Formats: sequence, structure tokens, C-alpha cells
Amino acid sequence: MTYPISIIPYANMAPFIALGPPRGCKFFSYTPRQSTIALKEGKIWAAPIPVGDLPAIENNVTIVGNLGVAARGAVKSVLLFSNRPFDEMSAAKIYLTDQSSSSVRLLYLLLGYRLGFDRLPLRTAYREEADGELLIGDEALIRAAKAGNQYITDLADLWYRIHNRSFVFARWVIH
Amino acid sequence: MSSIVFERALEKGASGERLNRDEVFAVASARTPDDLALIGKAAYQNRLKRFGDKAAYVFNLHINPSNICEGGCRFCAYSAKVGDSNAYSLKEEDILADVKRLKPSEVHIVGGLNHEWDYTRNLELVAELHNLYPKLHIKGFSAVEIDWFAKTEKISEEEALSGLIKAGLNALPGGGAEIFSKRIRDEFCPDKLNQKGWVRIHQTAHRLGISTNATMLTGLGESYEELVDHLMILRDAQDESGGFSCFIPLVYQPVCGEEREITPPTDHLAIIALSRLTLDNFAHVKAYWPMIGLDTAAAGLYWGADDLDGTLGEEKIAHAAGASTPKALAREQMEETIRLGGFKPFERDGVFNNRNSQI
Repeated sequence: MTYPISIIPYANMAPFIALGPPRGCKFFSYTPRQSTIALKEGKIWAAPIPVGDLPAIENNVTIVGNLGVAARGAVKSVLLFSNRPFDEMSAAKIYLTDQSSSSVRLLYLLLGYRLGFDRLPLRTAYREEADGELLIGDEALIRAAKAGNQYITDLADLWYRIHNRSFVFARWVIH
Repeated sequence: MSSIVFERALEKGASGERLNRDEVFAVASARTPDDLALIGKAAYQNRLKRFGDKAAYVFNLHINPSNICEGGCRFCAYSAKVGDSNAYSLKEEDILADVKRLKPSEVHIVGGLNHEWDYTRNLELVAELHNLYPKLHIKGFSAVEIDWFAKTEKISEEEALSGLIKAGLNALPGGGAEIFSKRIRDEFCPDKLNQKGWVRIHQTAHRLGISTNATMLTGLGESYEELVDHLMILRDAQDESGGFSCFIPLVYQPVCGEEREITPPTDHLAIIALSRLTLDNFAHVKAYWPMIGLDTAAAGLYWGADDLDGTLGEEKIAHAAGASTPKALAREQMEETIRLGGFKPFERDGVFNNRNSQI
């Protein structure tokens, strides 16, 4: 039997890709959110799952030790790009990534802490109308290198400045 | 695998002797860890005889004038149709500004099949680059693009090539070969220039006096036989026309959610070694770092590759490293990667000469 393992397609998986799959395993490419769905459907055996999705599947998986994706301070790849400072986002519209639920939940919490949970910005389905856009992974890294005059908020960095704690984005689980 | 054929193949390959088809297949199909170690060792001995402890990189710039493409290759994540939000078409002044800023040794020009960047416009770009930078090595246009130019301009492939060479083109890249297997081409790119056409255009280029590269794209479900067929076709073509300079193994990058395995690094290394042992008449084998990663590419130098390809354009490799001084770091990063593989780096030009060799 071959055990399929999800490898999310971001630079933080480079060590796993460089080492290659363990014997008897194969790597497949899924985004964090796709990994949750694939695990539920039995298509993969192990994956780094967004912590935001864990409650829905924790009865069906085993969390693997203390392995996951976390950052203490700036992570540089979970970023809100905006046309105004973070603390002025109340009346704004935000376009959200569909690749990760942890990052969306983190953004929600940070906006709530800074703006008030009754003054949250709106979500838009139209990128071109957005005052801000949440990106993760390599897309965020690349956009940050070309950001120009946009405001960039590193969510893990903001979390650390508020709570003085690391933020855990994903945990490795096995079926 | 402990067959006599396999052992003979390794012995011959290590010394640079030609392998027959059965021997190539024996190497291609041997994938246990012990077999891979032996294959790697044979490929290393082969490359050591040819190149010693040196490995090359080039300071180059990839120019992709437009991603608009009328082709429909299923494995392509680059192309776009007119009107797509990710479609783009560069302007000449932007391309020339990048070349002026970066001062590369080589440019690598490839793009989609479209009418905006047509034959004439590409011809003029080559002529302008050659006029401004006579020493710049201009490598451009896959065989698929040459075929497109010939058809859309209603000229022969030879006329299309001759025009570009006269304008200043120095070499063709190896793209568009994918894998020569008709079975896989029918599934993934049925309308693309076929194997015979690809080889014909390259051999025409050789006859006209320019060198070309060759590639092989794996990771699409090819069999060992199909791998071997591809390499044997290239080897036979090289015996005939002699103009291939470098072979570059490429690998398909699965799309997220696609139920296709990510090729493990051991497979990349196995293919590099197989290439070195099989293509005895190709001077160079590349470990193409943008597809297999810098770490695996560094290891690939031990497994038979002698070239790491290029910096591509300083922002790409610099981005990977998070550099604030991109140009210098691009060279430093390439040299460090080569040293990581245990070799001595040198910066080459477009024809694989050492740019900094002492008189």
C-alpha cells in the first residue's frame, strides 16, 4: 500500500520536498483547505491541516506530536495588502484567499481586536473592488516583493505584538 | 536490480562508452535505493572524466514577451488567452530596459503562440538586441515557435530560422519536446508540433550553423520505455546533425488538487544520471534548479550534471533568497549552490566558455 501525503505548495514545505517522501509514501500537491477536504474524502493519509479546520475533523485524525506550521513574529507569507493602514480598515472591503481558513480566522481576530468586532470591514467577492487583499504562501511572498506603495500587514507579526505569542497556522495530522 | 545488463551498463556508462538500448532501459528502470546509488556513482565518474570538479552557471535573463497562446497544452500553467486577467504582452522598451539594467551574458526568449508578438516583431527584437549588445548570446524560440512562425508567415522553417539567425539569433532553447511519446502527447498536447517536426527543426538549425538544446518533460505518467525512446531519438538525431549543446531534464509541476504525485528528488537525480549515461554525444547536462529546487540541483551536479543553468533574471533568485542586493547575491547564490554540491563554480557564457578564464 502507498500512503499519499499532502504537501502544500509553499516555500515552507521545501525541506519536505528536498528530502522526498518516506518509503511507501507519495507526495501530492494540495492547498491547506484542499488538504482538509482530501483528508475527509480519504484521498490522503497525512497533511498539514489549517488549525481553523481541525475542529471539524479532529475525531477522525491524530495530531502528530508538535509538528506544524507556526511563526513567532513575522511570517512574511500571511499578509494583508491594503490601500490604507490596518487600523483604518473599518469601512473597507477585503478580498480573502480561499486557500486557508486559519489565515482568514486570524485576520478576523486581529481586525476585531484593533477595530472592534462591531466595526469589521466587509468581504468582497470582487478583487478589483477590494481595499485590501489577504494572500498567503508564495503568492504573498512574491506580491510583497513588488508591493510598491501598498500597506502590508504581516498577520503573524501583528498577533505577536498583541499577544507576545507564536501563531500556529497548521498542524500535521494523520488519518 | 543485479542483472548482468545493469552492471555492464554502469561500467560502460562510467567510462563514457555508448550504451545499447537494453542497457539504457536497465538503468532507466532501476529505482531501488541501492541501484540509484550505483547509477549515481557511474554518472559521477562519467562527468568527472569530462569536467573534473567544475560546474557552470550563467548570468542570464529570461524574456517571455507574451503568455498569450493559441496552443492548448494541458500541462501548461503559463499560457493565457486574449482577455484573460493574467494575459500580458510586454513592450520592447521594457524588455530592452531590463537587458540594459542587468547586462546578462545570455537572454533566453520564449513565449506563447500569438499574433501580437509575431515573427516580424520577434525578429526586430533580436535585431535590436544584437545591434545594441553584439556580444550578448541570444538564445530564443522553441521549435514549436519556429513552426508557428513558419505557418503564420507562410514561409519554410528554414526561412524562418535563417531570418532570425541573420538578425542575430545564436541558439535555440530545447523547449517544446515535452516527451516524444505519441500516447502522452495525444493526451496532453495533441495539436502540438510532433516529435518528427521538433527534431526536423532542430536539425535544420544545426545545418544553418547554430547550436540548440534539448529537453525531456517527465512526470506525466510516462513509462520507462517512453523515457528510453525519447533519449534514443535525441541521441540518434545528435549522431546525424551534431548540433545539440545541452540536455535539460524537466519535470511537470502538478496543479494543486490534481491527483498526480509530486516527483520526488530521487527521481530527478535518477533522470539526470540516466541522461548523462545515455547521451554520450551531448556535451552538457543541466540540473534545472527552477523546477527541481536549488538543493536537488546541487545534488544533481554529483549525479552527472555539469551546469546549473542561470540566474534567470536577478529578481527571481533574489526573491527566493529575500535579497536586498539582488544582482550580486544572484551570482553568490549560484556559486554557493554549486559549492554545496561539492564542485567549483565558474560563470560561463552562452557557449559554455568560462567568462573569467585567465589568459
